[in-house]
This record gives sequence, C-alpha cells and structure tokens, in this order.
Amino acid sequence: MAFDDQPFERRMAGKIDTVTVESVLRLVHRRDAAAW
Amino acid sequence: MPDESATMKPIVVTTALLALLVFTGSARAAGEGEGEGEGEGEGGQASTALSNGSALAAEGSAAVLYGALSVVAASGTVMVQSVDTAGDASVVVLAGASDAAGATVRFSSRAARDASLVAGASVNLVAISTGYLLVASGKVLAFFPNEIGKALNMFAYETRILAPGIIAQARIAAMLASSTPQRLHDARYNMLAFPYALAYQNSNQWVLETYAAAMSDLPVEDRAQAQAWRSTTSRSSAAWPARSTR
Repeated sequence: MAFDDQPFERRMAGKIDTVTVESVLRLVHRRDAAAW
Repeated sequence: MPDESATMKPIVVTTALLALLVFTGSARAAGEGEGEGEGEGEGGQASTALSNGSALAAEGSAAVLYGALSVVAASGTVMVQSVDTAGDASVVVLAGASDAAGATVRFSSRAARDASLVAGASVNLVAISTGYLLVASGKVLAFFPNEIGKALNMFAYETRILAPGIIAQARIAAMLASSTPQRLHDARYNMLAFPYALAYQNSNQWVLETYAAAMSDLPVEDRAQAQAWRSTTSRSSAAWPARSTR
C-alpha cells in the first residue's frame, strides 16, 4: 500500500480516498436508472 | 422467434465486467449514505492488531449477538458468565462489573477451546480504534470490528453483481470488444490508490474507469481521459466516487 498519491493535507487529517465497491455501485445507480 | 443467444450475450459480458467489483481491503463502506461526491473516500492504515483480528473475523469467528461491547469494556473487569458450544461455534455470555453491562458473543469453538474458556474465567476486552479484542491468558481470541474496523477489514472478500440498463449494456459490450480496457489497466496496483490520480490503480478503479470509457460521449483512450469524464457531467450525477476514513 502507498499513500503518496493522496493529497497531503487530507492524508495528514487521516482522510484516505479510494474507489470502493459501494461507491462504484452508487455511481452506476445514480447514472443509470435502469441498472439493477 | 428471436435469437436469444444474441440477446443474452451483452448481458453476460456486462455482468462479467461489473462482477469484477470485488475488492479486498477497504471495499466496505464505512457508512452508506455518508456524503456524496468528491472528497470522500475510505481506507486507511491497518495495525497489526487489526490484521490479526481481521483474520479471526474472516473466519467468521466473532460476532456480537446481544449487548454492547463498549458498555462491557467500560465497566472494567469482564467475566465469562457462560459458554455454550454447539458445532463449530461457541456462544459466550460476558458480564461486566455492573449488572447492566453484559454482552453475548459468538466465535469459533476452537478459539474457545484453545483458550480453555469456561464460566467464571476472567477475560479482557481491549478497545482499539477499529473495534474490540477479546483477550484471555494473553491470547487474542476474537476481534469484533466496529464500523471503522469493518471498513478496513483487509481480509474481507466482497462481491457485488450489478446489471446495467440495456443501453449501458450495449455501450459496455462495444467497449469491451476494443483494446481500451487493456489500456486502462495499470500494473501499479495500490489498494488505496487515490481516485483522481494516475500514480496507481486499484481493482475498483479499473472497473470504474472502464465504465467511464463506455459511458463517455468523448473518446477515452487512457486513464486521464477516463477520469476527465467526470468533468463532462454534472457533479451530482458523476462525481468520481470515493470514500474516506478518519
């Protein structure tokens, strides 16, 4: 694992951003009302 | 009669793509519904204790059936009130110092047996940032993750299958027939890759960028263009999804 691509200030605040299963599903459902 | 095999093919293909929404590590959301859009994410650092505990959790060895471990832990001394073993699982009732503090937990009977856990035994319930460790005779018997612990479970294997709408299926099927998905795959894997950077890529990110390539009305030949897709749509509907932890 590496953190060096995370924005420094957010990293120092303990906030690590990454793409997750749920976040992908949430986006697809937001964009595609026909998805199930 | 229509050719059903021709009709079904895109569904199979697209399902195969989105079935790749499999992730180990920070795949689990820290809390569904917590914020939307940019600047959110999840992930973080895993301690040795968490890793050890997660291994136990991955075996399905630990679960709280009743009560709150926080109350039990706060009460100080924790005693085993009863141990009931049935098959591979043991149900253990923990009692705190006060009458109000109690919890019923379940974990593997092997763990209970190895620790010689019996009624009247004294155990420790250690609070850590990611949950609670049940410790007896200096040995960690079980890890009970809180929401952060669940989000950071390095051993979680989660699968979601999503069937896109028929229009999206057609776009994804056409895109999969091209070499774009291969170009969008980055060998520099990092479970905690930042969603808006090109330094690394995690598995969900590849699925997302491949989806972006299929749905974008502009040509997408590389990861930068896939990530730029978000700027071509409104923030509310297409902000690059991410989660964060703190």
